[in-house]
Amino acid sequence: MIDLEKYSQATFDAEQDMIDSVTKPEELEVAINKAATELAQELGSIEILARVGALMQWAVDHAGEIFGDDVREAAAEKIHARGREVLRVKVTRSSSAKHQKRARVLLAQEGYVLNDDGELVKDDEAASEVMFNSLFDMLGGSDEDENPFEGPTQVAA
Amino acid sequence: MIKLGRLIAQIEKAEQAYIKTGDSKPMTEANEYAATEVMKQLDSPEQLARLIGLTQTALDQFAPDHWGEEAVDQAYEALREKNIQMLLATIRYAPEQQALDARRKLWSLGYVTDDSGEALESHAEADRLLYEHAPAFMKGFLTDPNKLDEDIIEIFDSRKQRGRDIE
Repeated sequence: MIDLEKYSQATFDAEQDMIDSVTKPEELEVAINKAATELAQELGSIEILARVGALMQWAVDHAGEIFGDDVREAAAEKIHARGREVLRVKVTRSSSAKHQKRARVLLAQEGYVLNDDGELVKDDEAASEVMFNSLFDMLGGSDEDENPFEGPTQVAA
Repeated sequence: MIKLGRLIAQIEKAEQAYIKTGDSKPMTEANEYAATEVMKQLDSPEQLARLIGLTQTALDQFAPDHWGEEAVDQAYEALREKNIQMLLATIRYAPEQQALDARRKLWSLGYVTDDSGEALESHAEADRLLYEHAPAFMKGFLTDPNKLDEDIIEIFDSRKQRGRDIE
């Protein structure tokens, strides 16, 4: 038997600690990996792990039919709002320029930017500019570490 | 707490029955039952979304290190094989539109059906069928696989000719 809520709660708590400035943004990834590792170990095999993922996805895809459209829509909005909050903290407090940039681009994809006070604002025009600049950097062959879409790669000497 | 292994075994059994008989009702019921059992334990759909993220992280990061790349590849291969069998069952038993959707999915995986209705890997034929059955408005965005060869030959010929002209 498996306590699913425990793993879900672990990631929520780790996010909340980061949002409340208890931990650094880098520590969130470590906490998520730890919860994922424990979940995988408890499930015991890749097949079950993959099937659980598929089952959860099925539940999300059919959430409207099972739990009602209102519940699904409210949850979706809550998930997006929480995601933006996590990204906002990453932009303002991550020690990695690459992670900051990636978070900024992800926010821009939803039409959000940070104002001078570090607050989230919906501004499609400014968000388009962020997207354009990151695309420009990418096409201009900027340093890989600065590229928000790619991980570090080995550069030939 | 939840017995996930048992719920998944029920879904697998219902999927196997679907492949044999085309009866999708037990499969939908098994998925619905499992999803409801999972949700009973969670506070909200938000927690469900978190678990999807966790399983994906576990598959991407933990699984290859712990079980090995080969085991991960084998598991994905088995799931892909099962997916193909499910699509074949839909093609065989489902109403026309649903069957066509399943065919499109099969083609996009690079497979076609042979005379006996079994899956046959043929990327060229699958690409051709995907193009042929694409809605008219989509064709403008796709490349006709037959035309592609002609275009390549034309470009190649014109370059060859230009080379001769320069000589």
